Amino acid sequence: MKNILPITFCFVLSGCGASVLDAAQNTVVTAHQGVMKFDACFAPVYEAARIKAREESETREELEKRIAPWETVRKSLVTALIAIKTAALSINIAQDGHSSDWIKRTACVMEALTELEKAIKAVGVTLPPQISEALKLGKPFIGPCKNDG
Amino acid sequence: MDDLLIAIIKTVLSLFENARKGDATSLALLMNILPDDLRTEIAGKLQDELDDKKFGG
Repeated sequence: MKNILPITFCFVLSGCGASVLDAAQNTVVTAHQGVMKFDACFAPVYEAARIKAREESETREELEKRIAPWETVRKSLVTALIAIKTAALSINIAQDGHSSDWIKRTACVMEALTELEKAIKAVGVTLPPQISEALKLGKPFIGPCKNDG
Repeated sequence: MDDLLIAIIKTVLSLFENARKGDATSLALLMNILPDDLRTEIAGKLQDELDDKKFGG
């Protein structure tokens, strides 16, 4: 709850709804650039890690243990991309003057990026600057991301 | 047109919620409608197949 207060105050005190929407859009666009850039660099590294893990494993259990951190990055990438796409749709709806849950959707992007950052650090790969930038830009949007309408 | 678009978007958002809860069907549907697929995901699917060849599906 406290995390959405800065946004609420912004609306109430200065009527800066449009600029907050712009800030959300900046966050989402930057996040998208970061995720796509990271994906392009990460794919061959991930592929090599999967091949090495398969060669070194005698059983599927052993393999799954070896690749678990890499699979977390893969899943986090998919989640982040879906969160970004849905947030972008919600922001577009709001820009067209319709009501939408764009604040919650932007919060979902932040949640997904935070998980992705953790997963990337766990495998020791460099975080692209766009993802760090999106995490900074989107700080005011950190908040609940859940299916509660 | 707006109503149709909003209905479609709501469906996408609903798929997103279900995918977040771990529903594989929703996740697969979402991945199919996303315009730009992820290279890591493509590589992952290929590696999954190679794992299945070595360890059984």
